Amino acid sequence: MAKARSHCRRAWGLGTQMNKPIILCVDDEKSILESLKTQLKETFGSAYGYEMAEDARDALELIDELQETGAPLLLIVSDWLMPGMKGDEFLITIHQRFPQVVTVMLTGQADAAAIARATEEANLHRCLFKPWSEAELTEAIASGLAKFEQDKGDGAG
Amino acid sequence: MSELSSEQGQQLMTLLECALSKTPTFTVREERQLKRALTQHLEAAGLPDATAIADTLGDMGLYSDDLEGILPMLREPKRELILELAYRLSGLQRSMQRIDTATERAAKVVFALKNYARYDHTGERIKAQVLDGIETVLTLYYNQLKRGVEVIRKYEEIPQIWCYPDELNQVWTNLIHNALQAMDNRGTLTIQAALAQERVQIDINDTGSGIASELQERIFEPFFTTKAPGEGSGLGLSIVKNIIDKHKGQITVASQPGQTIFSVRLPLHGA
Repeated sequence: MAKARSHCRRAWGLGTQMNKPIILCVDDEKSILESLKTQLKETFGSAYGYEMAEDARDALELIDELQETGAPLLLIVSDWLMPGMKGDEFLITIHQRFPQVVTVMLTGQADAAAIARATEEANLHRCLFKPWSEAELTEAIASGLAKFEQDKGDGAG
Repeated sequence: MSELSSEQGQQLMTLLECALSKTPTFTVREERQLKRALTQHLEAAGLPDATAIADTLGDMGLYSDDLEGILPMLREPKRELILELAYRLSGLQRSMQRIDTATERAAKVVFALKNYARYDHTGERIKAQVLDGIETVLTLYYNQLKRGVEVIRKYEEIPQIWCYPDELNQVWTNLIHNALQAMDNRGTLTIQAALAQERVQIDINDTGSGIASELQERIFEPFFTTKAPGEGSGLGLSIVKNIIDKHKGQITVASQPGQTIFSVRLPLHGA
């Protein structure tokens, strides 16, 4: 755990950037969101903004607001089993609207069909299972962010 | 911490005490709105990095209402260090609270499962409190209730009755499961318990779509279902009916769109 942290850890200092790139976490369990936020902030520091939403509807609303402020959305970590729209459907919706956004599913209920669907239709980057370890979360996010940068580069070139 | 002057040390303590006095009660959505308001307040106060400061303060449970006491600290050149120290130190308490909540819930679920899984093989009636069974089922359904369903308990004091408690658990499970499904996990679930004419009456009331009147007569028939193929076996309510019959009780339904009440009446002394 310490190892993963040491090579990823960014300066904790408060950045000066206004519209930081956003990592969004969606889960209907508040304590899960709090844990994710704490771990992400610890590992990735203030280079990113971290937004939390309690279901897909809340998340979609938040994304619309982000669009207005101009803060770019890089990556979404979503639970699967939530009231209303399930995680696979949500990530597929996101992928259709924002194909560049990297998608990660974090689930306690391994529904193989849903994972397959998200892999196929939402270009799922990783599927993590609860309880997750900080190291695997860090790996999923770090590689996801790298992928975002690479795709952006490819798109420009 | 040795980098801090005594005045700065004092400011750290003030901030820390303020953060430790908070117990989080807001929803994720509310927190987001509070953080935004705080960002605007910080900007209005002329602070750079308002977004980042608001984020860290918000994570500590501190919002605009707490700003007055900590604003001088936020103007310090060492504010980053003071904020980080306070965030990390108070973070220990936040982590402990999370562990506390999680273990408490795990303990409840284990207790409920043990209760539920215990099966009385003697086949004899025993004296038991039916409300305990209902509470067990509510605990097991916590994940489907916690968001979107308001549970209202209207329990009068009712005595223990002679019954088969494990079988009654199946009754409550089926009725509560159906109620949640009818409401699509959004609405109000009211459970009422009363004593009338030597009988215990339990009403399970949901605000779901209701059961069409022409179907109400048939719902207790085996294999009758209105659910999509694969969703239900059609056996749930017929099993419920058999168990109630075994207790020499009655079950009735009253339904209209927006409200369905299943009423179970059980004699105190059974058969």
